[in-house]
Amino acid sequence: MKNKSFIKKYLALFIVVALFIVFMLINRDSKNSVFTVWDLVAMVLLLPPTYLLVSLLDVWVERKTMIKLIGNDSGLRGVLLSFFMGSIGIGPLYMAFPIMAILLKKGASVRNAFIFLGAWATTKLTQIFFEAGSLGLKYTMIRLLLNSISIILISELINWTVSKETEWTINKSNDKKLQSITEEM
Amino acid sequence: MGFSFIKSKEKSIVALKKTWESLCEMLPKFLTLLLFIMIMLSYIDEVFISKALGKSTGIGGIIVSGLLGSITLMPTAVAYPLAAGLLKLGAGYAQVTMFITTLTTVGIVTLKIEKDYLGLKVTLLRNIFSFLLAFVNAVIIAFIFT
Repeated sequence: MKNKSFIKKYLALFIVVALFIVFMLINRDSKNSVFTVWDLVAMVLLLPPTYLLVSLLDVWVERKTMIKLIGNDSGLRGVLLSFFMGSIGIGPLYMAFPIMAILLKKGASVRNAFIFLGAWATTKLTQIFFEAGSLGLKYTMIRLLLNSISIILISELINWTVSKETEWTINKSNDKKLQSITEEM
Repeated sequence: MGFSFIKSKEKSIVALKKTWESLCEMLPKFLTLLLFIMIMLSYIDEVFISKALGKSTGIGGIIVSGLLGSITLMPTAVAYPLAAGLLKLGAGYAQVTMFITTLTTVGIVTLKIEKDYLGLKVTLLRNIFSFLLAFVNAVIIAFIFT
């Protein structure tokens, strides 16, 4: 049984790796890809720190603290803090999903969690430097302003949608798993 | 992490254990996805992107740029110089903005990962609205810069 799930888990990976090797052999001399093996290595290297951060947050930060900082009644300060936390993140958007899940689990409001996600995507500090360098400061500032408005609109919308549902729990299966680990302690 | 160890050894070990479990869970999915994207992207090169963003103008061009941005995964360190180059080559501000914004906010290839964390409905909502608002932003920026 365990063996079977192992095969199932890695089957897709093996197929894609095989495909990848075939494609590498076919396209050996064309260097037209905008995406290189080094980007892949860089992305995989980002995974352990991300999960380490998530786990550390999980272990150290009390639910009470999180509720106070970015919970439902945290007001403007919570919004600003969420923006700030998202902006100092490093890595592509999908790195933010696990972090966001742990924020929600620890009692962050839905609105603030999506502000965090939006900020991670568009107002990241590292990104702003690249952007201002290549597209100019004026462009960067205008885009930042417009995107900030978008982020707030999206988080309001999702907050409104979710609030109509009685029980919206993020990441049901994983959450159960996290809980079982906590109970083990 | 070092700080965590000094404060409490037990809690740190729990954190490490959790990190390891999440990694084991995630790594195969993640690698599959990345390799798949790499295969796909080997067919979308800079020439293709500049054609889509540069020659087509108007609403159709913006939407195509948005779709391109949605399916592409590219480090922003690469994307911004590319965008600057495209603008010099005559691409429209609206198209370039749409491309960059959807590149960072909308992820079609990462939908599956997102769905695992946020659920299908919220994931779709977030992506669709990000796309629409990216469009609005692109039009406003084009208006300001031309």
